[in-house]
Amino acid sequence: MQHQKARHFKCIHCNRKLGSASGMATHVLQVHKEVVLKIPGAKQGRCSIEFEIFGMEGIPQEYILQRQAALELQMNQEAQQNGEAPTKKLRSAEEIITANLQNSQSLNSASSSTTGPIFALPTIYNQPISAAPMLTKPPPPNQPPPPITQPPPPPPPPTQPPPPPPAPTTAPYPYFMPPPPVMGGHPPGMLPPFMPSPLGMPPPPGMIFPPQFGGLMIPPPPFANSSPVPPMIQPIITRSNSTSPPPPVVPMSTNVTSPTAGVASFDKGEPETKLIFEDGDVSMEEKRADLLMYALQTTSSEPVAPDVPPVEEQSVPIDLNNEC
Amino acid sequence: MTDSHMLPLAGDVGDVSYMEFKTFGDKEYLISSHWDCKIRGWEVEGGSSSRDVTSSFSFEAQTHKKPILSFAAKGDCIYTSSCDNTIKLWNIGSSIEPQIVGKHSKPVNHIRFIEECQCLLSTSWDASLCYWDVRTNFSNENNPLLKIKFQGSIQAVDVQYPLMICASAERQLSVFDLRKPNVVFKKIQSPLKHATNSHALKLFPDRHGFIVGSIEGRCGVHHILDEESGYNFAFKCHREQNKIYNVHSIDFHPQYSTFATTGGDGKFHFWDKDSKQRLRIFPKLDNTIPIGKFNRDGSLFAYAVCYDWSRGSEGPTNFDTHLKPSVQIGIHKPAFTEIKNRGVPPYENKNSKSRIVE
Repeated sequence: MQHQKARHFKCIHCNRKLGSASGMATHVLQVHKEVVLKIPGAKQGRCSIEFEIFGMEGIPQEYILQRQAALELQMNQEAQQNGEAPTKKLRSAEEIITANLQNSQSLNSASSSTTGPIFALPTIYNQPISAAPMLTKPPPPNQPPPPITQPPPPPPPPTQPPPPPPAPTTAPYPYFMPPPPVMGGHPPGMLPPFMPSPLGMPPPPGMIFPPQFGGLMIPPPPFANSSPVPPMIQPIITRSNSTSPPPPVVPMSTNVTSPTAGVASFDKGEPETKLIFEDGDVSMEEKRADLLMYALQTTSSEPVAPDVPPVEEQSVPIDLNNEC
Repeated sequence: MTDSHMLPLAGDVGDVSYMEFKTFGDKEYLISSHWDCKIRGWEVEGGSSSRDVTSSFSFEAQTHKKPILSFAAKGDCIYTSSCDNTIKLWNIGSSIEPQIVGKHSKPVNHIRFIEECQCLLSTSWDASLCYWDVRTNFSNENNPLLKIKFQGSIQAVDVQYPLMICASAERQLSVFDLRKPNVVFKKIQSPLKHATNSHALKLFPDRHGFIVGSIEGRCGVHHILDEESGYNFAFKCHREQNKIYNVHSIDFHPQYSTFATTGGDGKFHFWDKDSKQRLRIFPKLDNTIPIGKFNRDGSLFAYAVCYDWSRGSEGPTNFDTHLKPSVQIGIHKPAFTEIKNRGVPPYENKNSKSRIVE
């Protein structure tokens, strides 16, 4: 992951290589007091910090599909240039998705990432292609007709927020919820980069993906378990509309500390770590002075706190009013 | 304890709140103020010579009826500030009742005497910082020369004429130019995320910046000028595996601009900020170390080993104190190698590789 860290996750002020895009943004904000809005060195349209992408993991679905469609288009164009008939018609993203999905139904969660792409790609090409693209494909049950209106080729311009152009993916896992790399010492409660919409949520307008796949809808497991690779999650497609991007993962960099003073049990990521003195609002001396003042108000015959200084010979209780 | 000289304290001495070395004539004294309402002084010898350090009791006085939080020595007078909200003046050795010189509405936690202005600076938990004229014999206790109000109680203060910095609540640091004391020169939010202890704020001797420590075992080295802010950094210290102790006090060596930190873990360390190294670690002592100070030429480092109240009235944990005296004051003679700076400040060496990336 050298390129990514050196080019995209490097702080521009101090050259420190962070572990992720949002980690870098957090570091720059806290240490150099600057706001980073774009990933440095990124292509146009791909510079959002919100996605946690490490190598080939964590790539949002739509980018994968964009790539798939672009590659498909490219392959067809090359085939045409070579005088051959197109091996397949261009399909909408929806078709690719359902094809992939039917594919992946037979895949088990034990599939590793490396076998994913190899397994998925050939079957995509083997799927029967409907004659009238995208409008008459056999929908799964309970599926409303997809509301696409754009012509199949070329891929529709990205005017509508969701519909990515159909593309065979070269990204490895369309249906894997890629694990964010576990950073050393971080709490195991990190959320995946994007979460599918809850069950039953109607698709936002323009969403071409069917909202439900019946029994296939499996919400992603909460990342409370310690296993670094979560089981494969299928209905990634129904992620909420991309206008509201998925909640970004905020990894804890070593510089991030809790900003609030007076917070008890400050957790630095290791459950055992603790501050010996936690109160940021009242200093130790103030606490001690409060106690002593209180203790001195009592008559001298009462047992005093161990730290109360021996008052000089007088046993007259101190009158605070006179002292102020 | 290793090679430090321990002062001969009586058994009932209260915890130390502040210490300073003071030179009267050709004699060097270590003066300390205590939570048992007393101020004490010891004559210390052996600093600048090669002999061992020796000390002898010099004076002791109770100038207040409530704990003394700080003091400032000038000539043969000591100004003491106390939890009884007053500042009093006491001539060393005199038996005259100390005279009240200034008053706040809450305990006065710091006083400093500013030679160049011939005035006294005092800070208090009542969120005010006052300047007092001490040249007259009249009682000015209700009329400070100047009173500056802060948002919250003032925790720490340091003076390197003409610069003064103080830390107030909510991690605010305010820098003042003492030639225009009524105007804040610069307001800085503490680079650390946690509160600062009473003595964990120190200006560089060359006044380019300051070091601030926090209760979260961390120190921040911060430069005041914006163009030098690229040299700022922070480091962790006074931590024991999973326990994070306070940084209690920071003091600079007067000549080498290296510095010492003392912490709630019972240790003190010497550091060099220019080479970003720790020069010497000292073994864990019997109790927390609320204050550590160099003497005027840096040949001696005094530290107080006593409870800092970090665990409240529970008493010090993580220390095996029940067999040992609860209050000790030690004087260490730093060796040349453990206190000589190894680096040069980055702002002095223009050819050095700076951290500012264009």
